[in-house]
Amino acid sequence: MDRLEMFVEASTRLTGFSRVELFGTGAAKEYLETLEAVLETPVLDTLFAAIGDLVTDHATEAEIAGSILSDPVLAPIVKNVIVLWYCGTWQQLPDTWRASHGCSPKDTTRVVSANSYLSGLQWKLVGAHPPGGDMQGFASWSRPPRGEER
Amino acid sequence: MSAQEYDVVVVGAGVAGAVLAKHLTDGGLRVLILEAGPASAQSLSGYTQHLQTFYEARSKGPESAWPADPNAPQPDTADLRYNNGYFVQNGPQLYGSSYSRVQGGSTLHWLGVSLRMLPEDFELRSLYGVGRDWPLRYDDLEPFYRKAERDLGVSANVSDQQYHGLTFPDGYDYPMERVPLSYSDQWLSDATDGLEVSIGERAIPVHIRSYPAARNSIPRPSYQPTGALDRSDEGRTRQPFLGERCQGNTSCTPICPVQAKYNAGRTLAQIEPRKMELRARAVASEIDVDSVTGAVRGIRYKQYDGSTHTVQEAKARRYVIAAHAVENAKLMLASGLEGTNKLVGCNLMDHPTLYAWGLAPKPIGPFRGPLSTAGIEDFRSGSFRAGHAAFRFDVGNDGWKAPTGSPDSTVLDEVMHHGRFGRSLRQQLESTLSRQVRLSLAVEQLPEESNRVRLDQRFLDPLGNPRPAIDYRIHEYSLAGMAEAARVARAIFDHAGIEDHTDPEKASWFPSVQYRDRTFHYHGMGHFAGTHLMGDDAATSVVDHQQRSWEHKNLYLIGSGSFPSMGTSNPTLTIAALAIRTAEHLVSELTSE
Repeated sequence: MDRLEMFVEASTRLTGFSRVELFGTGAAKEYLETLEAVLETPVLDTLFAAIGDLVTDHATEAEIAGSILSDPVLAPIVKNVIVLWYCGTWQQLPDTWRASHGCSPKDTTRVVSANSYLSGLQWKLVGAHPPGGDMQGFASWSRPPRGEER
Repeated sequence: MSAQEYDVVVVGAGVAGAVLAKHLTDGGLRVLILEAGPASAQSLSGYTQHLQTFYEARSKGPESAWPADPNAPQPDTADLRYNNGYFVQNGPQLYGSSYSRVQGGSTLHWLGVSLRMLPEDFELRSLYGVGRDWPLRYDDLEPFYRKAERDLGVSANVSDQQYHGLTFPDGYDYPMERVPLSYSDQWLSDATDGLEVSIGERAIPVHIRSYPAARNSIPRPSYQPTGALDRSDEGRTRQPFLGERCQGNTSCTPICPVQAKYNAGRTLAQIEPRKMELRARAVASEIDVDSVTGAVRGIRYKQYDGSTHTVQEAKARRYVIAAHAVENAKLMLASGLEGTNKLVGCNLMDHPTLYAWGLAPKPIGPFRGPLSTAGIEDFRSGSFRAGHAAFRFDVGNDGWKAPTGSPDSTVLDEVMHHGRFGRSLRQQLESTLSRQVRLSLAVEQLPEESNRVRLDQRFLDPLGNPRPAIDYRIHEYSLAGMAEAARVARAIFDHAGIEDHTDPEKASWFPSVQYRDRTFHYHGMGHFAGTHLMGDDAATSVVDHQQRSWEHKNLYLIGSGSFPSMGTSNPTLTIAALAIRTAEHLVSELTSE
């Protein structure tokens, strides 16, 4: 399994969205590249070793919570990955983390790209759309949201 | 056209200048418009670049799609917190609004609310003993409101808008049918059915009501909507207007991707090109006045290109300053024209606004449709105005985005602070985001001479023009109105079963003001007014009812700076109506000379 597959597979457990939905954003590769650009090699290798184990072992959510999300080095990165998928933004890592593991110039709070902004899962979650993109058409807003009937 | 051939020089290509110029040229006059900012939004490719800027912006605030040119700096609400922006804010409160210096002006990022002022708003002093009366009455302006509704392309049904004494001639209806109400509006309307809230002795029924919006909807017969612009740098229109209906982009502010929402560029594009010349990147810096007669001899302006500029002078038979309430005052003051009564720059107003937000008992489908489609207009009128401010509510369609930055802030809170992930995160977010409700509580402000724009010569922009300094206080009248507005919002939440989450500690940062034992966190509505107010007495006003300067007979100051009081209406439709009225006066006067 290559890194991208592994990244998306792990992300399904982290986000609660399926592989098809995640690849469907068109942003998977860009998010992986964001990680690769921000993190130094040793941290990146540690992250992917841990992700690889989780994917191979078909870890449950409880096991994920007890492993990478409890690890002081990996947890801030993993939380950032979740936010990447949901919001399309990268959050600067905590100061204490940066002091120990490196301050990349790319580690700034920012919208990764126009595409990542438009790909945020947070909008899809409630049958909405990113403001200014994926417009839903005249009067669509008058209709009940998904799952509701008036 | 050579310089001598202009009938009118107009400073500013926003809604006031554009609508005025359209009616001047339709009346056969020749017009030169000087615009301080760039013309970057007039071509489709330029406009699309602004959309891209918005996508990539970390903050998605009203200015995010419209960054300033350094030569024409502008206020930005993101600068308020550290008070390090274009305005030199002298307090005691922060003036919370912004505007854009770009061809098309702030209509590029307005919401599109196109309410008429109420008949009683023109007689505030006579009826309630507060503020000032206008030298006009509703009936004087009514025909011009209709023209403005056509120019801006307003969608509404007259049958929804006949309240608080608003009248329309028989047979009139708006150019387009009302923008459909959102699902959440419909839900809130049902959930507040029968609710009455007392103000003083009077029980006021609450209605969730469609408001007139300058957003394309279904056109009524004989109305042809206009839409997206595509003009070349030479001002040639590349393709006819596409009058596309609102597509529900949920980004009226800061940018409507399909231009279904009106912006002043649409009016500029309809002007007969042989009758108008438009110079962008031309910052008016001085009104040249004959010291003996008081007549204006020309407008000096700085035509810039990057870091270089040349000083030029524009001449015509009449001069119209339509650069924005603050910029109009700034230009007058920079020209030494504060007036004998020294009222230029004074009486600055806004609609200081609170947010109320909560969770509905069921999913209501937020983050869809225009940013809002309904308001609550019931508290804009009444004898209580003798004692405290009137107010109107905007019912949001965008969850808690405005007060808290949701959904991003909601996601961050769940992931970073509550450690949620996976299916539990998804379920939690679905449950929360789908129920977010927001009201904006916009409160009237009275004219006060001590609220004013001055110049601060210590701070010059790159062209050497001074920055505006602002003295601003929110007085008791508005603060008491805020307290009442907050009480009404709570009553609505209680009645509708909305769980109140209004908590400034968990919101984005906003300016605050103390009132008795309370702290209100407020924001500006972008509704600047009063800086050159009109009246029927030269001793107590700056312009007359035609927006003509009392002291300089060939000079007009137009826009919301002319408003002697604001009421609770968003000002743009009234700005446009007044501009049309002034244009018709000028056409009549200049064609008979």
